Amino acid sequence: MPLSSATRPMRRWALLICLGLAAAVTGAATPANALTPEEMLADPVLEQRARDLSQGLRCLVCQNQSIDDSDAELARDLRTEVRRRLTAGQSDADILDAIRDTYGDYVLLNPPIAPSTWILWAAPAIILAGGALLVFAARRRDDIPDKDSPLPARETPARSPEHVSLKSSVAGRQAVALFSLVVGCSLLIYLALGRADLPDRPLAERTAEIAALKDTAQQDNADRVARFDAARAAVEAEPERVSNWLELAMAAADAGRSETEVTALRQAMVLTDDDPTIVSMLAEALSRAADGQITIPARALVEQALAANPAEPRALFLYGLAAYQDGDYAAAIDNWQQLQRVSSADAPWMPLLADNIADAAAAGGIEVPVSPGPDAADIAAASEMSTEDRDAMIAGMVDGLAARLEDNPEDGPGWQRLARAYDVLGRTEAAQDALVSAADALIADADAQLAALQAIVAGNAEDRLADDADRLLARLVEMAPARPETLYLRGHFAATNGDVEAARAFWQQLLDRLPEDAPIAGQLRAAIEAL
Amino acid sequence: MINELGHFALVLAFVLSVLTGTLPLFALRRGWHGLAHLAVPATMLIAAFVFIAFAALISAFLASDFSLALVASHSHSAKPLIYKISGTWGNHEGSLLLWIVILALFGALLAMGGRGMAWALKIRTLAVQALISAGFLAFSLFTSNPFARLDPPPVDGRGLNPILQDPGLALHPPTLYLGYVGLSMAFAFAVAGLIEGRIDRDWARHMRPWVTAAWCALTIGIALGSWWAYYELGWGGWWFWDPVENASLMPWLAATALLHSTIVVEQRGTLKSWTVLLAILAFSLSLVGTFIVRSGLLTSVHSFASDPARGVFILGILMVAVGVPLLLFAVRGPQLVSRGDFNIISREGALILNNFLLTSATVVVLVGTFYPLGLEMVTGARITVGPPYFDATFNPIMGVLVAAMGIGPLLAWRRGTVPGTRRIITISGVITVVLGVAIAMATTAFASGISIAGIAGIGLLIWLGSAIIADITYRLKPAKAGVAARAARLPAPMIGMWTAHFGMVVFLAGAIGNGLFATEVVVRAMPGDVIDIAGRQMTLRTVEARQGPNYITETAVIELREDGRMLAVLTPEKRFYTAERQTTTEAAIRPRISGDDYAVLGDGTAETGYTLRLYRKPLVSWIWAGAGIMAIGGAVAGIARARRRPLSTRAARPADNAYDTGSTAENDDDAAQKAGV
Amino acid sequence: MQDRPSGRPLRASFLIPLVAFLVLAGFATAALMATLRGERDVSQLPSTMIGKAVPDVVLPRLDAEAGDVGPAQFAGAPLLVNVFASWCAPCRAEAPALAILEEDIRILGIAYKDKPADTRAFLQQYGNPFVAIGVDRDGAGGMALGVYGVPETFLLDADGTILLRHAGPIDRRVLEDILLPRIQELQ
Repeated sequence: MPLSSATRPMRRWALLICLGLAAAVTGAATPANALTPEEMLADPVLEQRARDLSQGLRCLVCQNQSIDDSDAELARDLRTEVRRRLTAGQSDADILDAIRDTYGDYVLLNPPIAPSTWILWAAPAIILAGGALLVFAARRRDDIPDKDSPLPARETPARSPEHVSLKSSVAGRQAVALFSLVVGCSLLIYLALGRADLPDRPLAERTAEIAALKDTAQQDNADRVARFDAARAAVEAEPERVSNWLELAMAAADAGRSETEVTALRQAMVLTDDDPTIVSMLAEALSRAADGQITIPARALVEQALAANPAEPRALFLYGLAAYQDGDYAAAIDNWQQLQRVSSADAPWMPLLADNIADAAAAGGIEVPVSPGPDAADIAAASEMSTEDRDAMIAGMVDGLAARLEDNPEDGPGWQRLARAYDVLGRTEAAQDALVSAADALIADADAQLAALQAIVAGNAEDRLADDADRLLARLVEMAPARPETLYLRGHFAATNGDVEAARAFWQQLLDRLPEDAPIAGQLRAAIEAL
Repeated sequence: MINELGHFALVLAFVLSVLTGTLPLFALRRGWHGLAHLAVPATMLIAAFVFIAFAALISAFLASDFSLALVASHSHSAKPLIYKISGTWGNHEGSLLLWIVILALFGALLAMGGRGMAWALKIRTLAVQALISAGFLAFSLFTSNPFARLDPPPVDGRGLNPILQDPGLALHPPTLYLGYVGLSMAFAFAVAGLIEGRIDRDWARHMRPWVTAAWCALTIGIALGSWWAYYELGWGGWWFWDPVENASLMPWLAATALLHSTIVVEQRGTLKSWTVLLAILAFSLSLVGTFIVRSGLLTSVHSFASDPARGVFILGILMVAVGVPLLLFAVRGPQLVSRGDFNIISREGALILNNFLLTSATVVVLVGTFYPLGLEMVTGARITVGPPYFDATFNPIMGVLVAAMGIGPLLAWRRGTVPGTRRIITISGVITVVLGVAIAMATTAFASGISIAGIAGIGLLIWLGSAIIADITYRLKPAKAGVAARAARLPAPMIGMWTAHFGMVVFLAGAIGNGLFATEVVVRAMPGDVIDIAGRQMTLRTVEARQGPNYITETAVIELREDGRMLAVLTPEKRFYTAERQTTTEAAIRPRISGDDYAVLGDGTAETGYTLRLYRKPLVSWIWAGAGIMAIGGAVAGIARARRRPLSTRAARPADNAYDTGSTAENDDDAAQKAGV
Repeated sequence: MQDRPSGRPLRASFLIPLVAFLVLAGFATAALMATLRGERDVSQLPSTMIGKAVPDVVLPRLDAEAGDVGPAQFAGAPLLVNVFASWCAPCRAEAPALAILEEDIRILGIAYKDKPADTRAFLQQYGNPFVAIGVDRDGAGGMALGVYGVPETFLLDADGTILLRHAGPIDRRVLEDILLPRIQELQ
């Protein structure tokens, strides 16, 4: 399952704010469209008043421009507002007051005289008066003739002594010491900062490399287009095939055509009757189209997918990402750890997932909580303890987990972990029960059914859990009728129930599909014989 | 390996700076002169390493080596060569490196030169300079490393912000930095003097060339920035009282004050502690300016590289680089002995007034710039302090300053009016009143009335202009020798002063001419339409698509006529930069001495017509010309002074002008007499 | 000061520059720290509307036949007014937050300078948490509310008094620390 790197969590919000500000800044830097003739009033006297007023009003979104000089939208609106009020016959003071009422003192380039600006407006007078006082005070002081004018200077030679030269004054050893000090410190700093391993890369020497890069890019682009076209042709030819739509969606995603991707996935969703995997793919596509943000509609889809399959990996991932984007880092970590648990250890997204969890933990200042319930590491740690300690620890963990699972029986992976723990404790029956619960929770997971059935067979619990076994086997047959394990188990349970014919038929079927020299082929033949 | 070589060179420069900033100070205290002397070669080495680093970075930009993250994010293979080079400093990291390069260059110049300078003062100054370098190198290496690499390198770069792809802006930062960093030399002198406990006339004499150079560069840098804003931003404005602009204005004001007060220390040995303080403040204010720009604390039209995290680092540098010297000043300053026997009506008095007004103006700008931030921190309220505030507070102070500029140069050192001063003042006063009234009446006639500030401005302009002319004529008035002979004997510093002050007149003429008499027309025009503006006719011929080196444009072709006579074809553009995917507008300007014709193309289509903003801006280019003349005047005075022999060897020679009245107290009176008569 | 000892004491006037600098640096530090902690955002402006009655904004409903809508129609219970637009990227970001708020309070949407068709597509894609949506084609409604950028969110009490204004997207912090507590207070 390719979880696109575009959906990696980023500080999207911060980024977008920055973009917004950048727009404001460049707005300030591309000037000259400030006042347009259409805005101007026909009456030259009124227009002159409008200009004068505009020059005293600050464009709030720009960096220190009057609205008369600015081409920002807001400046234009304010210019229009000033002129509207002028036409309505308002006085200059009224207009300034009205705008100040709405936007505050900040909008006035001429700071109004108010308590907050008393110091500002008094400053020149204070400075001049204070300065004059200081000057006169200093003059009076200096009027006293300074007879004994003591120069407190330290005695140092006034001129460079002729004899001072490097050779005579700095001994060779000192010079060497200084030199090595300089070079040594510099090397240390340089090694920390510099990249001596990187050669210069002037553009002139990179023509071949750049041409190759461009070629590759072009080739890639051509491939993408070809794939996209092929996929679209396939969809047109056989619109009822889900896989065609999925291929089109992937090709569209690859070609950056998010609208087609979304349409294709919606089609696939309809065809599969809301298959959770496809629903979550659609959620991902919508998010990618919104620059990575898990939008509200995407969230609804994620929730729909998780309702249908609580272990749907992509949906779990997106769910965590949504929490991350909301700044709810604890929830994000929780969801992603959930995903870690339902995934096999070598799933391709595991490294990304670990990164994300670390990211979220750093962003939220959270210590990554130990994944709930005993995991492999806990058990390994436990095996190094004394027997009693170990049993006590495992028993403690197991009880906690079991209690939690009673409240939350849909947690299939939790049941599986519980089963492993019971296994370690030697509570075989409890382990079998837990696996059956796991299989019931993970109703669409063939492996879960299989695991439970194998545990039943291995523990000779066919009689004790006969009903459960029937149910699980039915599901397994439904999902994976051709798997060798399925065939074997069907044969086994048929034999247990006394249906020798059926058992022989299933096993024979299996035998036919096994290579002649498979090691279990012999055992199987023996079993058929024994029937 | 060029990139990594540059990186390593930068690290070497950092380590060396740290050592050079500390060891010599320690060695001087212990009397280890040989070790202290190492500061000189070490400073040169730092410069060499920094240059290597900068050259490596430029070469990476030239070669479009996108394995450098900086090149990848600020350059593009299709960019014209000049912007590949200027792209090196058109970004935070690169501009920081440029700053460091200039810092190192100035350090090396002092290390190589500084002849006749007290040896220990030179070593201490170099050490302080190295400490500043160390701070900025650390900032560069650890927070804004220009040599950060990308692996693998991208296929192409992201380009340079189009608004920065402009010849004016290619030069603006380097000149501005020359100014800022030149002030760092004055700062280093001041701190070294405080450490040493000796501030004397020799100290001032050696510091002054740096102050002058810094001031000239700052003047030009600010003018370039303003010029750039005028033609690139397309609003026709040239000064916006933006925090970033204020950040460059404040050091300039302080440097102007410093330039004048240094003369007092050099000539009269007084105002020492004040001059030290100004030297510290001028550079501190440029650091504060950098902080504003880089931290993004205050909103500004110019903030192209702001990052609060970097702000923390700069704030740290600021605390140390400003706080420690100010503390040193608070402790040591009172010990600096000044001799203060002068009359309030004297050259000293005038220069004190100059310093008082310039410093007050600086503080007003500082308060206006930071007040919103302070208020927000204290009460949470947000206000804007915009141009109206500065017009109402800063301009009057500068008006008084301009009035004083007319009188100050006429006064002699120590005491009293020079005979004839009164006459000069009277003559220029009368001219001012008569002309002022005449112009005020004339203008009321054809403009709908001019504000009091406008009339005052015109009056001041004429007052200063006539005072300078009166001063010159007076000094050239033939006595025994002819005019030419007297002119030839005029001291160069005095010519420099006149030139600089005259630059102010030109600047004022531009500001007032543009401020009071500019015309603006905003229309929607169809091709073929004729628009009248200030007695001229502009005809929109067509709007066509064109292709530039790395952009495509919509170009309007506008014919400018006066009385049917074709003056020019204006082609304002709207550019779309393809690599950066940004639109800019390019105003079309026909600059003439009498004023600019200025056209901007706005939105529109052939069906609906195009928005055109057209201006007639009388005398506007005088603003920048005035700044240029000021800088030239400063340079003339500075070069003339730098070529003089050291004070000690000419102590006995009587001076020949009011600027340079001798060097010892004994011949002051004598010199003042000679200068005046 | 007649005869000055060689080691002279500190003079108050020589401390002025240092003190002034420390004050300035203090403000800068405070502002910088607040910015770094995310508490200060230069793009956030305090609203003058807080404590005032909500302006009488009446806008056509998005579902055209249903007539006009405005905050006044929802008097009697607290209301959240959210000004949004399909062209505004941060509005997408706050959609999930609005979905959470929807469970606690009624939300009136104002589609600011947006084409109705675009608004509908936006709601389709990002979900519709609003009880009603007013179409503010020319931005007059936004202007009456003092909106200077989208999204902006206003919290009104049952009397229609504006209690709170948030400019910019509602993120987790704003949702949990500011909006939800105030809403719970109201109920």
